[in-house]
Amino acid sequence: MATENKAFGVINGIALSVISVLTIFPLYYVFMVSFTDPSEYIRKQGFILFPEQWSMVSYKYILSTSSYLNATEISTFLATVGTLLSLMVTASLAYGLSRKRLKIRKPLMMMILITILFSPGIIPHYILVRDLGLINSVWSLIIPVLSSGWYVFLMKSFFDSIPPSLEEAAMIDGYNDFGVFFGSFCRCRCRRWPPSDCSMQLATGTRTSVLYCISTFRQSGHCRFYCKIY
Amino acid sequence: MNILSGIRKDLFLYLLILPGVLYFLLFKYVPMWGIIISFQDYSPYMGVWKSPWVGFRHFQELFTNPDFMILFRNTMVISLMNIVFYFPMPIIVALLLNEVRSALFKRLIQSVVYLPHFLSWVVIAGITFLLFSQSGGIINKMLPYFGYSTFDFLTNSKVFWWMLTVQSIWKETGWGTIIYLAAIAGVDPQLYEAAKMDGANRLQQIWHVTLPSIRNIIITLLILRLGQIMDVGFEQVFLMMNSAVSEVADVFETYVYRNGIQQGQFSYSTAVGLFKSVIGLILVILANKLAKRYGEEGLY
Repeated sequence: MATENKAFGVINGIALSVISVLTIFPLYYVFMVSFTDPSEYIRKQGFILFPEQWSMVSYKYILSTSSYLNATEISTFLATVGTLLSLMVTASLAYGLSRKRLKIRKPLMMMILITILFSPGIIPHYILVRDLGLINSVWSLIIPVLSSGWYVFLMKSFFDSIPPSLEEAAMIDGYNDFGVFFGSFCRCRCRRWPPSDCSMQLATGTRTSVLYCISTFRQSGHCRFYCKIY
Repeated sequence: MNILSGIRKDLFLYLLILPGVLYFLLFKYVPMWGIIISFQDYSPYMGVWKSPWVGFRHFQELFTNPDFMILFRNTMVISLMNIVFYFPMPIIVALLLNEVRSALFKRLIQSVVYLPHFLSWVVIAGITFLLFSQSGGIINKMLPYFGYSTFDFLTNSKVFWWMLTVQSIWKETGWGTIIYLAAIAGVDPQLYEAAKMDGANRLQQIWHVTLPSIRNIIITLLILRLGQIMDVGFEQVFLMMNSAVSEVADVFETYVYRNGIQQGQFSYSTAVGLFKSVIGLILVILANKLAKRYGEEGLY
């Protein structure tokens, strides 16, 4: 059986290597062609595994066209502003849905689930975007796709893991939901949260325990950012 | 009254969810209301309120259209080929990756296979042309060396569906493994110990321990995939389509785009889109019922 398992390991390694090569080859080929002089590409009829003469001609060309720079600018704008806005809208909604205090939690979740299961199609969506006057505006690529049911549920399960006791403790200390939200949002900087002994302490919800908790964090260095908020 | 007092008590919480709720109402629910234009002769000048009602005429028009069967066939074939050939791929690769003992090798392979996911379909279509085109593609340059004649991969309607399937597999297999690897990581190691004691080799361990452990997630993903059976991915088909293959390439999404957005037949295209969505909804509900009947957790 040992030899059998060893053979399996070898075959497995070979199979995965073949898959990787098949995945990387097209990318490698495009990369190499992009550094090849167009005349060499024509002369060799596309057979390029490695350019004879490295050439930046193609890159110089695209950088000299205004449409390329314009497209890069728009892409960068979409990637930064779009991501930031999308994250804010999605995360704050997900945070709210993860709090049991929210009275309209159940109907809201149902409302979002329905949007996952059923979409009315592209045309009503298009008409809406057009009627909002977003056609030919860069915002039409950001605002109509700010969030999706999937993202909300994904982030909700992340916020679900924050114990309510922690939030209560912060509220006693005078933080409102904004504070708790941004505090827990920064949680992603922590490697391990919360340290188990700490959440035990917090269960009592007293100020001393919160202080104790902060000192624990400071010592273990797990979550400096979060603790500043408390 | 109950809700009002709740809002007063947790004002900030309600303020936090307000943008998200408004977004969902405006961009997910207002378009649902827009479905009614598929029962009208919608004209942008008259709007939803004044456009005349025509009942199910647009649906009749769709079902009696000779193009309907072609669209339906193309959509279903492309989708089903995707489910049959692409869907198992991430599972297989995840199982293989899980059996790799060297952490470095595993990480290397993972980084490589995740890569294509981050390319957009436009870039992938470009790469496909560079590789497969009959005049300049490297594959067609290589074929004569192996004694084959060149082949029109991109303009041959016989292989068009396969081209799409291969593209999807190449692009998304690696990324798809993530969710299965996460599920496999949660399998109790004691089960493997027990299997080893019973004399199971590694292949048998995969079959009798790993696969049954991730069965639930496979079924969940399959249900979700079935719900999207009428969505084949507009971008991919639209980019790979050309006049030589339009007979096998035209799907509901490209049809809606052409008729609705380019030609402005809003009501008819909404009817086509609605038909598509309703089929998807029915399939999700059916698949979920079926999964529950066979004792699986299902989706909801």
